[in-house]
Amino acid sequence: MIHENEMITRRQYISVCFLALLSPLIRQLPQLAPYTAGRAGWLAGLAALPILILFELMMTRLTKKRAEGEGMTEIFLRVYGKPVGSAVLLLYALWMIAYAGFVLVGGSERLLTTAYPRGGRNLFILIMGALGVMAVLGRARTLARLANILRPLLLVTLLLVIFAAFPYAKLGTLFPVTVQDIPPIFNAGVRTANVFLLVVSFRFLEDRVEISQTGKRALPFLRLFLLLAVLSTLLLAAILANFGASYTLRHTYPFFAMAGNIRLFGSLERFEVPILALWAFTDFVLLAALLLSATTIFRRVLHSESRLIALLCALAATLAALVCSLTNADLSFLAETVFPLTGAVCTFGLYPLTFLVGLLRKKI
Amino acid sequence: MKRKRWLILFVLLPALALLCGCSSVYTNYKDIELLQVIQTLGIDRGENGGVVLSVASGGNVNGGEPTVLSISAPSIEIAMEKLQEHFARTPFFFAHTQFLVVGENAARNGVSAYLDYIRHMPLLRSDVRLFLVRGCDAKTLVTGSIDGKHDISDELTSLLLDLEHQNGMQVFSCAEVSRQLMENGASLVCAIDAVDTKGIVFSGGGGLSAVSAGYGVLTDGVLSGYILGDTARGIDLLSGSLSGGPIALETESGTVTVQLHDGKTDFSPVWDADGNMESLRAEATVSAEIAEVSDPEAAEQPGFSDSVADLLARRAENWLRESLDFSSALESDFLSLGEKLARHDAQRFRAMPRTWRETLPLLRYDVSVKAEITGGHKAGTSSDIREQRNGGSE
Repeated sequence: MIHENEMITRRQYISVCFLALLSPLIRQLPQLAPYTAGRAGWLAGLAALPILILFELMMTRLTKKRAEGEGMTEIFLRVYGKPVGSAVLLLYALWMIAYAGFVLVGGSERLLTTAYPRGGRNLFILIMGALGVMAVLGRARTLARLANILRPLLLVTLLLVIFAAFPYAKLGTLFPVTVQDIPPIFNAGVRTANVFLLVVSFRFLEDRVEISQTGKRALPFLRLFLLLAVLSTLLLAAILANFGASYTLRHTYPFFAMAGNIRLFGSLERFEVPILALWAFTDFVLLAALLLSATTIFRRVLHSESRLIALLCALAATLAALVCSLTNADLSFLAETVFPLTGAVCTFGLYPLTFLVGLLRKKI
Repeated sequence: MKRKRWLILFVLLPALALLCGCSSVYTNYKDIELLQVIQTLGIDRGENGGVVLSVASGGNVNGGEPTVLSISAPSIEIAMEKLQEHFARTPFFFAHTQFLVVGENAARNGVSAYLDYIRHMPLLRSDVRLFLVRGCDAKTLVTGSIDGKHDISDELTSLLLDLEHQNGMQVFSCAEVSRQLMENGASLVCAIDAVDTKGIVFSGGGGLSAVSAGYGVLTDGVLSGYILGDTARGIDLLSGSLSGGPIALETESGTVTVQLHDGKTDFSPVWDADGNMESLRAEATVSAEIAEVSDPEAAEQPGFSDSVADLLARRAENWLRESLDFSSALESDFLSLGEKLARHDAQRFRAMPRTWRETLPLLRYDVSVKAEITGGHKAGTSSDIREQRNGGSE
């Protein structure tokens, strides 16, 4: 049973989801969109919107009979039964921990590539890992409040970079979009939806979220997806109009390269480093949300409220990150193949399957 | 409660260690007051495929001499390292580099490696403006332009303003050149000449100066030719960036100088029965005003503006033809015609049996220019004044 002072408002919960998704938005989208759809890749966000809406409608139906204090863990256990449900959930939790480890090593790699070329990865991993330990041992409410405070700051920063980059952009090169571009745009839309639907991992925190009094449970997520679709369209349009598809793909972090070229009032320049520092918050929120979700799963399945579980999850993620770093694991392979593929299995495989089984067994 | 205190202490101790300052943890810490901000980099091809890196800091705000140095090394990264080692007291700061000057010899061997370095190096912005120095190496220009308090950085800053705001010529950044090379296989780059100013009166001390020459053409990253002088305006007219800059036209009554305002070109491809592009119609419009005439009386004659407009149109037509023919002759799409035509009629362009690279050398051009003279010089007031004084008669 969740204590009253652990409960978070729906607005705070959506802020956590939004901030957490800003990390893959900057990291993955500027690469996958032009790779899949070339010059027309800027429409990937809008192409993802129908998929996101349909998915959210499915999730709303899946969680329709959720009582206050009940989360996705209980729904999975109810749908699949305790043995199978526990096994599925434990595997999913391990995936979240692995992904959290990837977020640690990916975030440190970004800092090195963009600002500290001669720095060491491990120090950043350890510091962020330590922060992750603090986050997961602390209350979810603290994280949610932090996310709520940072949301407007990060949104304004992102919009500032996008609109400041437009004067340097050749918008004409984004057009025309022809009939032949539709299949690659749709493909890019599916992959973009896969990125944004990482948010479904955070539904395991919904046991802490106050139930909507208006009954419009889908609306907050639909608004979030609409915002993300618009932001990603603007972001990709700015990047592709500045660099073109081929040159964008040669950058590791095109967003920060674009931010680095901005000059305000003819004299203020090299903004990418403070923006990079701000984006460390998004990594932190993503890391904390994944670890909290994984911890929630382990606690429900193992019927234990021990803080040791939280500590072990955080340490496991940090260890996974350190192993990746020390063995010089191919981060591109992890970023472009392993995690998108496994994420797609979870998102487009597990949840629809759970929905169908739940309907058939009349558990939802 | 006790456990919480230990936890807080456990977290605070490493944080306190980090508060000793960046120099205790990071080895790349630099005191901001000692930084030497480098504004211009010069790159030449060195011996055995290495580089000769030249750096210039620009005018010193404290009134001292600018820093201008040059060093040879196997690569740019090692050259920067060696420079830093030799001048350890003044750490170099490359984050605000504005200009990259590449020597002609280096450009003939290929600039792709340099552009790639600029792209991936976080210290340098990818929108650093790229200049190609004609007939000379970058080291000569960068080290030879120092003149008391000013150096090549100040020269290039003035040149940039002059070219972009007054003449409408384009100075491309490394990012733009890289993008064009990747998308079209070819790109233009602003070409400059290193001019000796010692012989010029009131030149302020002598040394080398950078003047605009036109555009260099890079094909697959290698310098393949130049478009110089007035013909370079054809490039600007084709890209729609033509603005400003005087043109001297020879009329029957003497020299007429017109000031260009703007111009643009519309393309219409002509397709054959097989779906290939057989020719390209380029229709350009140019507007200008008369700035100066050598014979004011002739300027009063009816039809004068029209005759000047005709001359301007013929001149602009030559610019366009030379630029387009040069592109076909080199088989180099530095004008981004493929990209423009693909936008114009994407379906037909993609359906062409021949590739664009095969089509470009075979393309015929049908060029027409319409020039408009607007406002400008009002000539011939002397005879009006004489008429008024004499009551309307000589």
